[in-house]
Amino acid sequence: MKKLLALCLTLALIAGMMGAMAGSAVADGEKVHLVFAERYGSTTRTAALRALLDEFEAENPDIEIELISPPLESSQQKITQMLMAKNQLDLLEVTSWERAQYIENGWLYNLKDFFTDYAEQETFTDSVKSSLATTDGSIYCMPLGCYERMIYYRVDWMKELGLEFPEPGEEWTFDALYDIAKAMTDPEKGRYGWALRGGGNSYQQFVQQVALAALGFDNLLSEYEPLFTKEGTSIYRTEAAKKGIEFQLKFYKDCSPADSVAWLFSDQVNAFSSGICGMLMQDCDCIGSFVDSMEEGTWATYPMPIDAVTKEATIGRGFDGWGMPSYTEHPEEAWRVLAFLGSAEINARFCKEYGVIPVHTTAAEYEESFSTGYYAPYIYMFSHPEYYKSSGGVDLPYTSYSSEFGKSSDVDLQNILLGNADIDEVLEKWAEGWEEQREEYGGYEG
Amino acid sequence: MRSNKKNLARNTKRDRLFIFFMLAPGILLVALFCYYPFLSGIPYAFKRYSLLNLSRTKWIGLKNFETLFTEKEFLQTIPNTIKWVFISLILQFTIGFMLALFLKNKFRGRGIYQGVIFFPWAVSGFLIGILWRWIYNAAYGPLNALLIALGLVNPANPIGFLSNLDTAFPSAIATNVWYGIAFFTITIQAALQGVPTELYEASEVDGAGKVYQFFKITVPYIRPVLILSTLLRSIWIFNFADLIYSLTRGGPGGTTEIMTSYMLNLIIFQSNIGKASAVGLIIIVLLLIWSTVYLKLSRFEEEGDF
Repeated sequence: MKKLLALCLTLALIAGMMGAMAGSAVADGEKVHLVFAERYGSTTRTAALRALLDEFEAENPDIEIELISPPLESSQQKITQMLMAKNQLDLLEVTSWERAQYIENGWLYNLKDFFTDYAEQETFTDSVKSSLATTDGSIYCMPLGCYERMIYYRVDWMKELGLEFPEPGEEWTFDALYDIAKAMTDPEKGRYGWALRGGGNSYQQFVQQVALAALGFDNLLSEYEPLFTKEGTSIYRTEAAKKGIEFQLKFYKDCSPADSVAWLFSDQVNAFSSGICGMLMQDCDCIGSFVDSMEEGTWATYPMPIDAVTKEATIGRGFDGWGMPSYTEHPEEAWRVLAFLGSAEINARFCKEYGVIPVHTTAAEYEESFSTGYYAPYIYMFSHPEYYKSSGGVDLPYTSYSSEFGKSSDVDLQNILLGNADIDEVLEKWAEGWEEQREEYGGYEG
Repeated sequence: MRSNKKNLARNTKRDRLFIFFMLAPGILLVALFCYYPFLSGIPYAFKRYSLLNLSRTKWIGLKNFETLFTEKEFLQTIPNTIKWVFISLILQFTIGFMLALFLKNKFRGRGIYQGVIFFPWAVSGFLIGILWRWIYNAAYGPLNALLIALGLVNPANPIGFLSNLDTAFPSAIATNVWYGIAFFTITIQAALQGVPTELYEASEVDGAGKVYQFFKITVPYIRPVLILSTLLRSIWIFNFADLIYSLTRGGPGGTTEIMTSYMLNLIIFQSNIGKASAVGLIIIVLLLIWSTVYLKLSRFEEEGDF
């Protein structure tokens, strides 16, 4: 009896394995099976993407798409491993963080020829158009959305305290932001004006933003290399960078909970939605979470402040996108999926669900909310180039150092905030790091 | 007689073959998923190998090790790791042992109490980090709320358990202790069940007290279990980077960074496989030395099989 049972189990196991193998091959009639890896998966986002892919499959019965969405924390490693091992993968999400690395390693398919006849690109925003191709004219991604910072604030707190933001423009400076954050702070009541994220790329809170604004766009090496000055040295060698760190220190000491030195993204967002902090600086992907967790009318968004002296701020351009691995066996079919996802209507729908800035100027025609409400600060920033300069967007090999820099600068900044490190020494170290990278990999030669 | 010998030889041969086939799947799996990645990873430690740019991969000799031993961040992980392992181990072992002795006695609700103690062991290290990160949060964490309610902490100045340079590491160790107690309780409790009650009864007749019984009967009898469990646990604690990653990410200012979490950071944030492999190799060497010295000092071989 036992032998019989063992035999049955073995046969079942073999049958199961064969079934799985058959499933992973192409087959299933005439259908082409594409594997699609999502990098920033979440319950709602994956569902939104899956719904669009279902729509595509209904219109294209010869293609079936298997969407894989590894856990967020390990998705980068998982996708990198798949690319290195050349596992079947036909479509993938390529973030601006990883794009330079993927291109440098030859892992992405050059979409230049496909783009030649792609009419939808006509309505791409200027920011996307200017950063679509690399310096040699290659195109590796179909843009999916842009991320940009803005200020989120508690409307109810502002009313209660009789505070008002200056109109966006010349008066709306980092100093004005600090004054409001300070006025909101009342530790006795457990209220703080600012939710600082000290534990995850915290140099992007004030250090880099203030430094670029204080330095002034004209003093940057070029619009493609905002991290270097006209002299070809790192911006971290300037007084403007010191001003950036001092701002971070001021906001931490006077306006944020002591604990925020170690906060990650989730802590920062929770502190705002749970009524501990009155303001934070974040990308638009927080909108969805606040819509779900906060009462309408209690919070709103505002454009980024500018420098009090230069009267400008430099915002990063660029986008995250969809791409295909260089080794895909189905480039034609994969391109059809990319072309579908990149179209103005589909992109607007996806961006609304996910909460990122759409890549088409016509997005508001499909989703009205992009021209009003929580997204309005972007419209203001994009339409006031006298205050908001845009930079970056080109995938230079040395920019992949951002990931390493983000981690090591967190350690340094935490030590500065806790009085355990010297600002000048840290800035010197940062400057050396970036200059070494640029020297090794070369700068922009377009 | 000769035929018997022949049969015996054939049986032995058949037995050996049987043993080999029974062991083969296990050996194969361990070789494939443990030794192969380990051995194939060694050469990377001597290479410049970064996923950020694979075209610049090349042999660089001991450069990765040289860089590591001149980096303040890495050097800081050495004392951190020693403290992390020894303080956690001693506290986990002591509390775990006490609970195991306590649970040896029969009392009402023992099953529920056991379940509560064993529960943390069933939770992943990563999840524990997230859970305790919330508990420790100064702004909305329950621990501060409790201390404030008890009047021990000023509401305007809550304790930043994970954000203060002085409290972050002890807080991380406290979390690790909470997690690891269950392991020792389970293991030691199981070992205690094997101690014959006759020994205690006989010693009582001879007038031995509880303390004497503990040191002369209990401890010697379960000594092999204690040696092996502490050795295994020390290695696991050494490698318990998932807790650090989800609890503090090594912060603030690198104060809670241990060697394994540093290695993890090199892979996750820097894609620097070469340098991470060098750290991995250092870890392997340290653990080999530690295991050998520990087993020698504890005279483990003299204990025989158990």
